Amino acid sequence: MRYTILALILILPLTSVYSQSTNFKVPEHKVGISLTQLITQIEEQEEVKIFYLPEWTDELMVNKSYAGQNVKTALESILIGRNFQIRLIYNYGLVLLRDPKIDEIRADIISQAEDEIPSYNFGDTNNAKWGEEVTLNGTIFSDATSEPLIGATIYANEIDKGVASDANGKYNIRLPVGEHLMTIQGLNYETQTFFVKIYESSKFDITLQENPYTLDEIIVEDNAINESFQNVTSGTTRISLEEIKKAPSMMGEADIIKSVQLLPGVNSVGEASAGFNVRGGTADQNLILLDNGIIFNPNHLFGFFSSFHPDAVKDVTFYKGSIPIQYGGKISSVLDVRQKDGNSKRLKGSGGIGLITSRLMLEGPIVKNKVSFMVAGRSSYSDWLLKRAKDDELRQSSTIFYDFTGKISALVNKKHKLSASIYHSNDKFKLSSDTLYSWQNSSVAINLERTIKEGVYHISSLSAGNYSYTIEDEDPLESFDWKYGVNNFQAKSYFLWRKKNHLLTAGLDLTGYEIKRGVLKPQSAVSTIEEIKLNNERSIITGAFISDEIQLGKLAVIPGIRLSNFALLGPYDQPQYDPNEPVNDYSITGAKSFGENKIAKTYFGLEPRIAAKYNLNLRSSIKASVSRNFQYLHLISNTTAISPIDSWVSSNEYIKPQIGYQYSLGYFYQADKSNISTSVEVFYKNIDNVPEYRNGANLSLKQNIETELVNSEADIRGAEFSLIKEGRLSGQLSYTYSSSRRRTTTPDEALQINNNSFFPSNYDQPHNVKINTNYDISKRFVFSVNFNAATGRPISAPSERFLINNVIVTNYPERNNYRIPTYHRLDMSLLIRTNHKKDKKWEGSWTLTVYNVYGRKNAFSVFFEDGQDGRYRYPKAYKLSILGSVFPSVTYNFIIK
Amino acid sequence: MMRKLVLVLSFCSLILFINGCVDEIKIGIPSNADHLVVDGMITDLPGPYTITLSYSNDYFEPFSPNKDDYNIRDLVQEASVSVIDDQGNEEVFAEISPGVYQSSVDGMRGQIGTSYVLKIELENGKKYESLAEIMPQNVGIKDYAIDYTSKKYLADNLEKTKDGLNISLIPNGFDGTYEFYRWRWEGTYQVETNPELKTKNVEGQQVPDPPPCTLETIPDDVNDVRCKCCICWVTEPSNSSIVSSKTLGDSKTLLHFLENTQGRLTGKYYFYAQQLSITKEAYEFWNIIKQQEDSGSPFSITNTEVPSNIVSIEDKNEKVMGFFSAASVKDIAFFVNKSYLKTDPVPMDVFKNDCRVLKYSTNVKPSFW
Repeated sequence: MRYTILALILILPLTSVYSQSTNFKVPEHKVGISLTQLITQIEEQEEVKIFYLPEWTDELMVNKSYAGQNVKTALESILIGRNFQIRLIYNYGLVLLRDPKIDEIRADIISQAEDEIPSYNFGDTNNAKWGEEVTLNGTIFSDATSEPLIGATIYANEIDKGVASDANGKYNIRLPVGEHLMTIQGLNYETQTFFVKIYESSKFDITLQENPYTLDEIIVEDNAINESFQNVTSGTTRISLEEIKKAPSMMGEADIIKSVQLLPGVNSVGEASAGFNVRGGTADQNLILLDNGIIFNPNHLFGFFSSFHPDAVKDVTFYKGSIPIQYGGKISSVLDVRQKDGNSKRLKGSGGIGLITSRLMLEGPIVKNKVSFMVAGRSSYSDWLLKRAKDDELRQSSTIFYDFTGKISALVNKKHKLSASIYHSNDKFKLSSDTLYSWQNSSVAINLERTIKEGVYHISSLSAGNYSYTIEDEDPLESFDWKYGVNNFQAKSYFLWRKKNHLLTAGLDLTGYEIKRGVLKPQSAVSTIEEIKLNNERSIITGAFISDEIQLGKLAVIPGIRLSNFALLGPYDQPQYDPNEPVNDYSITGAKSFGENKIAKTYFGLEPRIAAKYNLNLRSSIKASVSRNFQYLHLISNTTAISPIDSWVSSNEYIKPQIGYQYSLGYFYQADKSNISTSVEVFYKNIDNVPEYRNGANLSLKQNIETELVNSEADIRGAEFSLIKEGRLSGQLSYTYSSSRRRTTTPDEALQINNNSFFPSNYDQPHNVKINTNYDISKRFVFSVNFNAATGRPISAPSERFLINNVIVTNYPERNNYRIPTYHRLDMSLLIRTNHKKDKKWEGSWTLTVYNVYGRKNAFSVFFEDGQDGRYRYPKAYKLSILGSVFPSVTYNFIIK
Repeated sequence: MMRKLVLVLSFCSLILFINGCVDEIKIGIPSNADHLVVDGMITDLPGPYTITLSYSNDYFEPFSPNKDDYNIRDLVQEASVSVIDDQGNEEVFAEISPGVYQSSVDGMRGQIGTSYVLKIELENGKKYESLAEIMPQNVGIKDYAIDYTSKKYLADNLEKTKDGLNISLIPNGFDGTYEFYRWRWEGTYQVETNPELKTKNVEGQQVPDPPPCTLETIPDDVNDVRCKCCICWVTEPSNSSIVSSKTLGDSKTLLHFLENTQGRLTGKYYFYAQQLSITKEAYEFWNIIKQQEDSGSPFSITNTEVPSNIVSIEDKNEKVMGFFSAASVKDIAFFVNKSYLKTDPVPMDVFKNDCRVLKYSTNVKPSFW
């Protein structure tokens, strides 16, 4: 029978030309019969033959009368949402067509099941509206932590429809009335399969059992990948903690930011660089959130490590394409880090002991099943390493960093979940005996999630944070103390409505910044340093946003818009410049003063965003998005890497908000059985009003910083190719081509850079190949390899020298005219689990990491200065590398159950 | 300082990993040299004034391959050089040595408020002109200051201390509007060498080789035989860009750290400094050069193109280097001695040769000595 139908599929294109010349009518029939019975009745009473498999139709109930309707239309309406096609052949036959793969999938799942597949009934068959869709929703929980699971997928196999649970573990799937074979997966959780017979919209909470091991011999599909396939927006990646922990990392420290840098389209300029560049954007265009609190500098030790505690993190979602409407303020990406709520059943913990840091995380109930806590901390003891250094200067240096994070979550009642998070990171770095650098991030956040009624949720968050740095110099003649800081707060509230094919998101947010732009004070009476105090900048950004995720069969569209308004508040002195002259210190004609809370400048931003996904078939889809984002805060830097003294400034009358346009288009393909998925995405970005530093700009402690900047435009285009394999040997291979160029747009020749022609941005790395793979040697051993290669980034190289007034002058003819050597690095790690019994209270593992396996001295920068050749001085080029050799390390990690 | 920071941060210096972090590399940068370089100035001090014309060198090519010194290699000879003021007066500069052009002794003298344009015509007919430079006024120098200082530094992985004197100028208070200044200085001190101890290597043996000047007859008195190259005066010029654009008030501007080394402070040290009031354009030129002097690390300011106020008449796109400046000059001279030191002056190392071999050295006693 199956083959008959297959054969029919083949002839169909030839025969369907007859179209619907015959109009068969459904005869009078009983309500409540099965579709099989109805078909039999139709065949008896009409001159029509219907080709079908009874197993398709036996379970389908006909609960309303279709009498008098066209047979084809009636069948279509009964079978809606079930992936059937109905074709007319030979003027008398109707063929119900279904991709035979669906049956194969079903048969496979059933045959693979070890136990009998459970079946659940929802709703009353008597109320069933056959042929219509109903909603199944609920929350997916973890058995081990009793926390909601983010990103678990619930999938109706036969109709190839799936959704992932959201940040609160909630899922919502529309299913045609009838029976479905469902699969639920969560990475690190045992996959559940069950039948659902659903007749009315219902609620179903599911608890998944934790897998004893990260990856067993059973092939666990990485749901993060599935999810990315199913997500409507392109350029969205959820990174699970397990992926983060497996990646080989510097000093064996599991690192969220470094894991983000493994993704295609994400670059960094080198090892010790705080910040990363997403799709050719600057490092300041990334919004980094921890439980909705804004984090400005999530780095320890100038970027060697990120300051998020790996054990405290539940989930990381990274958006580099179309950014969901509830996030605003940054152009290139959003990194949304969520922390664990804490186990509400029993006390648990985990930690690690490494060469230079140790960490510990504890979680447990305060009120069982209601209120839970999580605390985590990490501290360095890296001084011993420095003390063993050969170099005197290094030996006299010292570095210490720590971070602390905590969270309390309460299920107030069935409909309210409240959580409060606190985070603090601190770094101190003392160079020799003179200079002390220190920086801190702090954040507190309160999140309230409310279920108003089924399908209507209200999410609110309130956060406040601070980022500050201090540089102190103790050399008496130059002693100084330099302080900089940014305070921020954010209130955000939005609603989610799910209704049939719509998911409406709408809300408001309010963000405030106070930038303490810097105070430099001499620290001794003899110090030659003069006191400088820059004016503070206070600003308020209000936002209103609305979007709707609409499912239209194979097409899903999310149109949305965000309106933002920026207001720079007084007290503020805005210098005025001669309009006929370029903006510089010498063209100041006066200043406009704005009093306390008076508005010094406003900007309004219209930020439409649209994302769409079209399913070409079961396995492939096309995604496209267009967005326009505004950014009102800018990190001003004219150094190569983000340096400890870079500072954020607000937009003002002269520094306009950056406006970013992004267009992206992607093709996604998930192979059927081989656990391979591939994607190709192309993107084009155009960013207006990018503040570029002028030739010779001096940015540090500059009051009217606009005099050091020139407006520029960024033109970024690229393509990302990615191949992901799951299974025992898993990993991702990606290649990214991107070109990130700038050009100044000023008519004033003196301010033009490279004559207003395009030049590569400081972090432009056109070719980037990344390979990261994991191989499960056995239950106890996991071997991982990372490889990263990227074009060297551009620098300005000198071309000529001359002597003037006894001073040797070097000319750097063009900005970014030379590239440093290609970057490439191979890292390996081996994870060894010390025991593997399911019910042990203590689970230990060793991570052996070899970073930079073949000891390449990658150039971090190239600089030029006179070198000595015997008696003679010659100009020479030098490369500065951060890692000079292979770097092995070992970390012991443990879990207390 | 920032480079030090990165080096300390880098993991190469750790004992386990002894490879250095800074390595010389060969890079191929396309040559972009042989541009005309103009170095000249007209001031309100009595002339003559000097304009030097040369061609820029390839970055990696030493100025002078045979000496530990920077002498300009490609000088531009046989050019016609003149300066014209806004009254139409023209001063022709004559070539006094290859590439060096000088105004006449009793010729033009710069005046505050007057604008000057430099005109150049090369032997091959190419013409160049400077933008007009209007000589700004100079607030003058109020005082100077000498402060003892000691600094720690690292050499061959050992912490060492160097001490010396910070020599600063205190300009008169500016009136609050933007004024641009540059400072340059010359320091002179006396050196004593031992040419009589000079030796040379003959078949593996060091044999005495005193130069003839060790014992030279004084022309006036045949019986008076003296060493003519044992005592010299070394005049070291400033070789960095010292500029300021702020309203300085009474604050000090550090001109030089005079290190207590090589006999500079065993006797007296003559310090001559000029405070030049310069135009905004000249300031921007010198300020870029100042930034270059503190560059090189990933955290330092990226180097950029050096501007110029010289343009080619025929080809606006031709790159010309250097600057023609009109500056009003106030100067000051004083002696510095060891009394300012808190440590003993460090004598000069024994130098077994003609004292005139030393850089910037002469055996003619300066008039002020």
